[in-house]
Amino acid sequence: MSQSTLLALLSLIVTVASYYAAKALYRRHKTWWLLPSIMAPVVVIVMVVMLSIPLPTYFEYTHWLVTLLAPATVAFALPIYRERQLVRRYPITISLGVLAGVMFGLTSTWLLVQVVPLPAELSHSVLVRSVSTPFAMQATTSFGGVPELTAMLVMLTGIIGMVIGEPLFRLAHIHTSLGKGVALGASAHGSGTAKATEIGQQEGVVASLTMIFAGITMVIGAPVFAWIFS
Amino acid sequence: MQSSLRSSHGHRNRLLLAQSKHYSVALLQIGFICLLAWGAHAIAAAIHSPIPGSVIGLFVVLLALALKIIPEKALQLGAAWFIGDLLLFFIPPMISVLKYENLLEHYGLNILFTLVVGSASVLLSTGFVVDRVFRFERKLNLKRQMARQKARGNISL
Repeated sequence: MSQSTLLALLSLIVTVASYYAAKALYRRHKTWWLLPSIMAPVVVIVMVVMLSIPLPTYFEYTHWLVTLLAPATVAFALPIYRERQLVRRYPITISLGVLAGVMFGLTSTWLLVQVVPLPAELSHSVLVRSVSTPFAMQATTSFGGVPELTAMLVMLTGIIGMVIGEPLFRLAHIHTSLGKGVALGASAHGSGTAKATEIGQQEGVVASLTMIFAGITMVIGAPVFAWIFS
Repeated sequence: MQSSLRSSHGHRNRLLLAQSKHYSVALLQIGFICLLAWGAHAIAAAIHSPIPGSVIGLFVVLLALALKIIPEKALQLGAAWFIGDLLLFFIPPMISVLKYENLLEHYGLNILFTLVVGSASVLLSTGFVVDRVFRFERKLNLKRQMARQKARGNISL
């Protein structure tokens, strides 16, 4: 086996292992720096830099993990089906909430990008940051964004939303379960859903539904949104 | 003593068997979902669909679930893995951030500012709107329910 194949194999093993290790550790000690979304990339980056693994070598096998984002999108059909009762009960709230979340996300980011100096790769990639990664990486090309940068911006957005969500709700007197759930799902996707599940069961379900619907809306509407926000 | 030891051993074996069965069923379902997704992707590519294959696949599976063509149980374990471990699939794209090291060094603070202010405004505005709409719709549902009960009451009278 050549050295490059060996390093590629090591990359895959360390990526998967560091993710599951961080997940197990975070379950036991709920400290923010053990969050798999922080710990796992940090461990992998340290490995890549220390062993000076070239990026193409790193991606040789790990790119298979990324191809799993498509089936993951399909798998989202199941939670929608399972929670159809909630959608049937609050159709106005959920559809308006999803639409509001997507539009507020795009508008606020677009406005900020007009004021804050950022190079084009970043300012185009940051627009879709509020929706879940598989959808965001899909939609970002319509806006002229870079999928890899988008993945990182989406992840950071998730962590930020997770941290500032609850204090903001208290400050703004947002008390209903749907208000919190939709806001967290629409602004912080998967991380927001995790936070919402900590707050309450219904909040979690609402957040996950919102996250999925917002992602679908973003992907389907991307050509139109890109035309408006450019 | 001897018998209790043997029984605990048997218990562990049974547990192991159940566990390995659980994993193999999950693995099969994961494969099934992959086939569905890649099939949808191939079809979307063939017809030059503007909607990506994965989203078409999502709608097809949702329809199949609603029509009971695919039972919920046939996807449950596989879907739980995909959704629960979603993060694993986008660790590699985050590593390519190393390519943009310079960019992030220069604009790190600007990015952070944009993300924090943006997230705060989305959380507040969405939460505010949904809070109001939800109170309205809850009242609407309650009224509808009461009207239905009243109608039922009249009939029984």
